[in-house]
Amino acid sequence: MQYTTRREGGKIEMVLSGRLTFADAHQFPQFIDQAATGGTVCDLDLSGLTFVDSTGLSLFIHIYDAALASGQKVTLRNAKGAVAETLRRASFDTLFEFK
Amino acid sequence: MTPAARIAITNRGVDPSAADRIRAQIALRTPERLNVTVFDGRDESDLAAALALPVAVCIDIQCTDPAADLPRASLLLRLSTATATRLDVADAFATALEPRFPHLADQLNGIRYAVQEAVGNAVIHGNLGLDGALRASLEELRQFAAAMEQRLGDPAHAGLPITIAARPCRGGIAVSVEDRGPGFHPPSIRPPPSAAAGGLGLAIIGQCCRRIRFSRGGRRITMLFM
Repeated sequence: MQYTTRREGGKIEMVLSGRLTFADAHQFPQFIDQAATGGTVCDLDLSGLTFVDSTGLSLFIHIYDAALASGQKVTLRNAKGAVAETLRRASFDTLFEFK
Repeated sequence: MTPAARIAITNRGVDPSAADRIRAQIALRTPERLNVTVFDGRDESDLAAALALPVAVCIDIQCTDPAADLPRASLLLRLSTATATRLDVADAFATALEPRFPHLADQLNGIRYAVQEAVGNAVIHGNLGLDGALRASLEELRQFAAAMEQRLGDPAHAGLPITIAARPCRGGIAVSVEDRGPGFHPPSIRPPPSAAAGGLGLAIIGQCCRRIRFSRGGRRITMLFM
């Protein structure tokens, strides 16, 4: 997985691309720190993601936990194809706002 | 024909003497003709090409004991833990099955998802020996991530092989994924402390295949697709 981060006021926008899998687990803490620190709103743009496995799903659960603790609002945007299907099957639409 | 001459080697960037050693090892135990590809997992960028017909056995030279104890299969891929982490193994393997088992074309997506989860388990819990329960909280996730990075940099872990094999079974296909980790005992598994700690992978595998079987002390998972 590759990602970029942009901050504007209290808004954090992160754009993810590639495959989000077990192979990326070592970079999850750094990703969560960037998503959850110093913003009231976090938008995760998933338009470039092509695949998510179960370890990849766990990243979103950590982001949810961190957002819940800090009162941050997290939105998942532009999930497509197999990624959208995987997130829906995991019932993530009950945890996050999807756009 | 000498035993070694039965083994046709396609060499993708491996030192020829290392390829010859693998050919000799396989020839000792294989009575039939066999197409074998050897590749270097540090440099390989096109695993699908390495697995293309007519190859039956595909071996990453970066593995510890690359040609030891190879199970019989229609298609076998053995690669190091580091290579399995770097490349999209599940997609390449499922794609390679399509021309070999064309009657199972509608199963390939399920095979892709199931192999992805099985390889993830083989890497993380098997060969890297990492406890998924350590991912339950962010603090534990930091320890997990640090340990993962450290072990992937340690040849003793990174070189351990993962073996993926497919063979026909009851009109369908049996796909196995095997590691060299400490093993796994499904009946004694406790529910994970949180969804972030893992446990979803086996559930996904169960949704994708007809039957799951563990053997070799839990180091091998065999998934039946029909």
